[in-house]
Parts: sequence; C-alpha cells; structure tokens
Amino acid sequence: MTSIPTPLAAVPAGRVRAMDEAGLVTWASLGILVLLLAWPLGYAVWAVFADAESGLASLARAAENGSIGRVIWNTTWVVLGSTAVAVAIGSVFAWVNERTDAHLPGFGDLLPLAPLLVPPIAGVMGWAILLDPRVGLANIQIRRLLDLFGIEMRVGPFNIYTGWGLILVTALFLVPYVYLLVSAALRRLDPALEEASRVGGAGPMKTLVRITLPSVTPAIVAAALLSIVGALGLFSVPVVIGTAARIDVLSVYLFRLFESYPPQTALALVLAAGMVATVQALLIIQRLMTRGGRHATVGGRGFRGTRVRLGPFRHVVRAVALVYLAATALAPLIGLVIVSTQSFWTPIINWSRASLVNYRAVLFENAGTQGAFVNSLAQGAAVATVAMLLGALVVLRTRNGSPLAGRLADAVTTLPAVLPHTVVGIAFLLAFGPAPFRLYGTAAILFLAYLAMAMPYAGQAAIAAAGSIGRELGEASRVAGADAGRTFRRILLPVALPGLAAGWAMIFIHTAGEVSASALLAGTNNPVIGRVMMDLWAFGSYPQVAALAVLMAVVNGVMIAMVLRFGKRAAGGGAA
Amino acid sequence: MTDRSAAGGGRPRVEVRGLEKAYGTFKALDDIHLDVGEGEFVVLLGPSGCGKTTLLRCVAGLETPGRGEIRLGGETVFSSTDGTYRPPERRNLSMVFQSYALWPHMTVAGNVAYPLENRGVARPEIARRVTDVLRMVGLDHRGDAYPGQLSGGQQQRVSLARAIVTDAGLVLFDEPLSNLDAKVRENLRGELLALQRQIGFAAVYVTHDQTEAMALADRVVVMERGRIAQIGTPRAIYDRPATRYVAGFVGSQNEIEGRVVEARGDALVVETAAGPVLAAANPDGARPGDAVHLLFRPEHAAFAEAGAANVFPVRLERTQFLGTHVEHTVRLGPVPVTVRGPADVDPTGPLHLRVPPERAFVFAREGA
Ligand SMILES: Nc1ncnc2c1ncn2[C@@H]1O[C@H](COP(=O)(O)OP(=O)(O)OP(=O)(O)O)[C@@H](O)[C@H]1O
Ligand SMILES: [Mg+2]
Repeated sequence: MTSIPTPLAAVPAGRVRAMDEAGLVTWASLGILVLLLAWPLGYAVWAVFADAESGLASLARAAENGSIGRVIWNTTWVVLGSTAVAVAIGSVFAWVNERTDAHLPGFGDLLPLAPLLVPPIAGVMGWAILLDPRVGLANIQIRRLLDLFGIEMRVGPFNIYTGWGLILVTALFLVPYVYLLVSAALRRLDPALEEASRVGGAGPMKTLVRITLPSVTPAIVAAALLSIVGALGLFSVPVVIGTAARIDVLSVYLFRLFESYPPQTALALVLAAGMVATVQALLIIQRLMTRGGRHATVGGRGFRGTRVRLGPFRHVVRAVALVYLAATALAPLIGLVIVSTQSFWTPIINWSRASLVNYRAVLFENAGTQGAFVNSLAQGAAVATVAMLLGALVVLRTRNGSPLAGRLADAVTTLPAVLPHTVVGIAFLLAFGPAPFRLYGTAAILFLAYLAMAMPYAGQAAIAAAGSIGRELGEASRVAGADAGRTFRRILLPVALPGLAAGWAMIFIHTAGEVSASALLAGTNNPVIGRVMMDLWAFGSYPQVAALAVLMAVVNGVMIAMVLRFGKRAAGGGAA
Repeated sequence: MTDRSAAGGGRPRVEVRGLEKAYGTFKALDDIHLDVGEGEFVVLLGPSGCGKTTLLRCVAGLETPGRGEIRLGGETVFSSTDGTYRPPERRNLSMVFQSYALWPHMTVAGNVAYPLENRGVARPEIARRVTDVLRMVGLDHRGDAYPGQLSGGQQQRVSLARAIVTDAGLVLFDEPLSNLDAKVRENLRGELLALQRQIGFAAVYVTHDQTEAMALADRVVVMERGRIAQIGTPRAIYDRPATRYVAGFVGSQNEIEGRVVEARGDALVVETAAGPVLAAANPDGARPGDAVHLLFRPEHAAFAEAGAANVFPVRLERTQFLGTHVEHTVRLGPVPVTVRGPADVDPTGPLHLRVPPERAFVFAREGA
C-alpha cells in the first residue's frame, strides 16, 4: 500500500479535506444556488441601469401627478406604524415569557407558529370577514350586544378598511419575528446581570429599564429593522385591506405596474431598486449599531434566573397572552369556517343551510381552484424537499471546510431574506420570462423563485440542526473509517433530521401560501392558491375563498404539528 | 513507496517529522519531531493553547499541517514535500474525544459497530466483537441504550469501546477524562491503563493534568507554545527537567533569582538574596558570573538543624492543611518559599531549612 498523492494536495492547508467526491457535490450545489440568485438579481440590476432613463422619466411623470408621493407616504407610515406596534407587543411578550413568573410553557413555541395556521392572504381575508364595517361577523355580534344596552349602530364599531386596520393586521404578522429575536437575546443574557442589579438595590422595574432593556437593545433594533423589511415587502395584507381602503403601498403598487397594460416595467424597476436600497441601508445601519460589542453579555450555561414576580397581576398577563395566541391563530379561521359553509357572506348566518358545497366546488368542480390546490401543495413539497437537501448539504458540509465555500453558503442562505418577495418576483419575471427561457407562467419559474426565497429558512434550519451536532461527531465518524459522503449520510443527516423536518414543514407552509411573487409569476395556466384566492376575493366569491383557506389551514395544521414535534426533538437532542 | 513487510518489525507506530502548522502568522505547531513505538503510551502535556490538540488532529488527518511528514506504521500519510495527504478514514487509527462524540441516533452497540461496518467486517463477526469490547468496558448490558441515556462516565466508556473495537493498534485521546468528576476520572484512568496493557495498542494521550500524565505515560512530551520542550519518562521529566519551563510545569517549584559566583566540582554556588546556595543540577551549563534562577521543589526542602551545609534560617509565615499533607510558607531572607513537611513545627522557635544541593536546579536567566 502506498500513500495516495492526490492532485489536490497542493491546495493550501485547510482546504484539502473538503476536496473529495462529496466535496464536488457540495460545490455543485453551491454553484447551482449561486446561479439561481446571481442570474435574476444580476439581470434585474442590469435592467435597472439599462432602463434607467425611461424609468426615471416615468418616475418624474408619476411624481408630477402625485401618485408616487402618495404611495411612498402611505408605505412609510404603514411600515413604521406596524413596526412600532409589533416591536411593542413582541418585546413585552418576550420579556413576560423569559423573565417573569407569568411564563407559560409552550408559549414561545406556539406564538411564532400561530399566524402560520392559515396562509397570510387567507388570514387577512379572515380578519376582513370579521371586521368589515357593514357585514363583518364580529362587528355584527358586537352591534347586537350593544343593542341590548340601547346603543344602535348600522356600521362598525370596527372598520378594518382603514389605516389602523392595515397597521394592526400587518403587525400581527411581524410580532413573531420580534418575539423570536428578543426572547433569544433574553435567553442569552446572563440573569446574573439582573440579579446583581436587584441585589444592588434596584427594584424590578428599575432593573428592567436600566439593565435588561439596554442589554437587549441590539436585538430590539434588529427586530425593528427586520420588521421594517418584512412590512415593506408584505403584499397579502395591503392587497386585501389597502385596496378596499384605497391606501396603496409600494408592494401592491409595484404589482399593479406589471398588471397594467402595457406593463410599466421601467418605473417598477426604479421603485424596486429604491426599495432594495432602503432595505440595505437599514441593514447596514443595524450592523453599525450593534458592532461595538458593548452588548456582548452572553452567559454560558443553561441557567435559570429568578423570575420577576408579577403577583396576582400575572394571571391577567397570562390571560392576555392566551387570548392573543388564540386570536391570531383562531379568530380569522373561525370567520373563514363560517363563511365557507354559507352560500353568501351575509350578516345573518343561516346555520340550517350550512353545507360543504363550497368545499366540493373548490376541490372537484372548479378546475381553477382544484389545479391551484394541487399545484401549491406540489410546489410546497418539492421546494421544501429540494431546499432542505441543498441547505443541509451546503451548511453541514461547508461548516468546517474552505472559507470560500462557507462564505458562499452564507450568501445564498441569507441574501434572499433581505429581499422583499415582490422584488424577487420581479427579478425572476424579468430574468426568466423572456427568451431564451420563456418560463413566465410555468411551474418551473415558480419553483425557482420559491426555491430562492426558501433558502434562508433552509439555511436557518440546517444551521440550527448543525448547531446541535457539534464538529466532533463528524470527525469521529471520519476517524472511524467513513469517508465524507458516508459520514454525511450515516451521521450528519440522521442527527440533523428532526431539525431538518421542522425546517421542511416551515418551508412548505410558506411556499404553499405564497402570494407576493406568485401574483407576478403564476400565469392563468398555472394557478397557485395565493394568486387564485386573491382573484376570487376580488370577484367577490367569498365562500369559495373561505373554503380554500380552511383547506389550507388543515394542511398547515398538520405541518405545524410536525414542526412542534420534530422541533422539540431537535432541541432536546434526544435519542431513540 | 513503502512496502508492508518493511513496515513491520521495529518501526515506530507513529513518526512525526518537522511538523509545522500555522494559523495565519501564528505557529500552532513548530518543528515537531516525535516517535511513538508499538504499544507505547505517550502523553502530550502542556498548558492550554500550546498545540496538543492540533498535533493530535494532524496525526488523525483532521487538520492539514503546513510542513513536515507523518508516517503511521511506516506508511507516509502526510508529506508536504510530495503533497501526500491521506484522509482520516484511511489512516486506520481510532480517536477518543473530550466530548465523547457519540452519535446520538445510534444505540451503544450501533456506535461501537460503526467502525467495523465501515471496514466491511461481516455481520456475525461485528456482533461478536461488539459484545466482546462492551464486556471489556463493563457495558455489556447497555448495548441497546442510547448515548443520551448514559452517564458521562458510561458514555466515555462507550467511546473507548468504539476506539478499541477495530484493533487498529493506535488510539488518540484528546483529554478524554476532563469532563468527568474526580472519582470517576481516577477509576476510568486505571481501567484505561489496564486495557491498554492488555490489548497493547499505542496511545497518544493529550492532557494538561500532570498527575494524569505521570500516572499513564511511558513517556511524557511536554509542549510549550507549539514546540516540544522535553520528551522523557515521567521520572526523568520530574527529576531532570531540561528547562525552567518544564521544571515549573511539572510539579511545583520554589524559585530564587541569583548569580553564580563559583563552580565547586559539579556543583555551583549561587549568590542569592538569602545568601550563597549550593546547587548541583545544571542542565544549561551555567558558569560563574551568569545570572540564573535557582529552583527546588517544596517536597525536597526540609526543616533541619542549623549549622549543616546548605541550611538557612527561615521565618514561618503560614501553615496550610491540605488533607494529604501540610504546606508551610516560610521566608528565606526576603524570598517566600513553600515547604511540604511535618505538621508539628513549633511556630515560635527558630527554624532552619535545608535545600538539598542535588535537588536544586540552576537555569540561565534571560536578559540579565
Ligand atoms: N482553527 C484555528 N484558527 C486559528 N487558531 C487556531 C485554530 N485552532 C487552534 N488555534 C490556535 O492554535 C493554538 C493551539 O491550539 P490547540 O487546540 O492545539 O491547543 P491545546 O494545547 O489543545 O489547548 P487546550 O488544552 O486548551 O485544549 C491555540 O493558540 C489556538 O488558539
Ligand atoms: Mg485541546
């Protein structure tokens, strides 16, 4: 036996190990992902500059008649308003759950999942069904109640088709991000810091304000910026509420520019570029703000500090938390279920006439909805599978490999997260729509765009799963005689599997219910749930929309159960 | 191109030649030469960050050195001159990790069987060998358990079983006992040594615990900032440290600065703040006029009657009871000195301390 001189052994130290058969697979996957993002984004950037002249000209024209100014102003206050609300709610919940005795076990797992039970577009419709000023089901019940006290109202009391409606419903979708970031920061924050403050004579409130808050400020800032990015790109809420309230925001306005005939691509591109530039600027600001390291207060072990006692008040806090949880998950669903059993959305619910005809219609009779249902589920499953495979591969395999591969893996799994989905849709539309691809309206273009948008989730899930593994498990396998590929199959993948399954389910939920990019990319031949629901809602086919939404809720419910089950196992690192 | 027959008799199991590993401009390993014989137990000892783990990982193939050569059983597995690099799975060795690194999704038996499966061993043979080694480490009844259901000590036993199951003849250990509490650590240390003697594998064992090093090693390799400071039997390292660093790292030392004033045969007279001290051990070859450190161990100094050679008046400052022994801190002139000694010292009476010349070391003092 002689030693094997490999041609790659001349590569500078550290990189050698990554270079074998399995390494090639990793690099190939990385290459595919890089192309998947670089081509559409590069194309879009090129298009912005190529069309800059006509884009700026139409921008000037649009600015003259005031429409652009109004859209930007609307977008600004909707985004900032909903961010403020979400940061407040999310941070308070995070503090309550991590640092007070009102802590509810499981709350932290459920809160981020609650708004996922129905797809966002369906959730918004559910809220509209409840809070429409005239026929909103909740409004009607409240009016009846008020009637008993002699207060008579014809409309209201709530009207979702207002700026407030837009802000609050948007905030509901942002709260989970805030909660996750802030609670994670609190969990990392050594309670000894707070205990030292208490021992030093400061009361719980003073400790909260002087110690806890400043320590988690970077997380709150990060959460705020992430919310701004999310709100800026959110499409489902403004397309339903904003349209009826005649409040146009950027994401919907961009969509309309493509829907108009002829499409105003140049103007859309300039605006999209502005949107991306804004987001990037915000992210840079965030990085600068949190760079100082002054806030590096990470403790090590899984300690449990003493919790702030809220006394009897804690029951109130708990009740509020539970109501919030139930409301975000169930309230819109209840509205949807009710309407889905009726032939019309009317103020008077006729229970004797309740039926499942709408379900039969959307599933078996209406080829459009049936196709959409099948397409969306298939896309969800395919995208989730491919994304998780690629994500697991690039993250797990590049973790300790070459720095270049690590950076690339990092780029493909984080870049799409900071791009509003509408922008992703536009980029893919421009890059793959025309010849030579001609993919507009095909399943392929949807798949590619969904895949790009799913990579951050896949990367996150894989990183979380990898975090539970530790480098030595893989090394032990190599030393035990398994090559890189076998180590991946026999050790890394199985150990990471629960976490990956949770990630799979998340991606499925997001993909199957996606609207922002789907609205731009799905043609009429390739209906997907998001786009079809949007269209049916615009037509006024509310019971059918509701039936579709409820069906999606059932599917998502199964997925969420999976996330909870496997997410737990992944966190516990348990065997068996 | 080595051939197997030549690789057999008498060749060391591990040969490391001129190994260098740099992270950026920082040299984690610098010109390391080391041989480990068949069945020999070699311990790498040194403070945190001195490169022990890096050296071990280079041998395992988990790290690629920048320069040098590594041969295992006579076969070159790494050579910077001709670009040879053999990945870990083809180096036919085993490793025990500090974190145990048991695969949580496999049973104990599954973990132990895995290296055999990778080598294409037949199923019945695997079952037999797994049962055998699990019995050796006293876990034959826990084969179906998952690692998560075992205690730390049991987990490390599984890890040990997994390392010896292939009969690779070489096991690398990276601080395998440091996560365990003192009692378990001591037991396991004994069992490990017994197993090693019984099976006869060569072991390279990393630790920064000198007691562990002394207890286990045939030879100790003391490392200092990426270099080897001294290689020798535990006795030799203790009795004849080659440098002041080794003398200070293995065991504890009293240290007095001084200057050599006279050579008296093999011994030197060192003028110190406490007066002239006779010292016989002079590994650096210090000469009259040299500035030196004079070192001796607390367990070698002893209280004595005044008037004898190398005896100095001291003042008792503090006595500490340490369980197995008592430690006195005394002042020798202006210098604080620790002495291990009898519990019955009269704190009021005049005290005298004898520094045995043959146990007193002289090391050259730099920059003086
Ligand atoms: N991947 C790396 N990048 C940069 N420096 C490294 C890397 N790995 C190790 N080092 C450095 O190399 C030196 C030797 O590290 P090594 O892990 O071998 O130390 P050690 O002797 O095992 O220490 P310990 O007893 O703490 O385990 C350290 O100074 C360490 O900071
Ligand atoms: Mg180490």
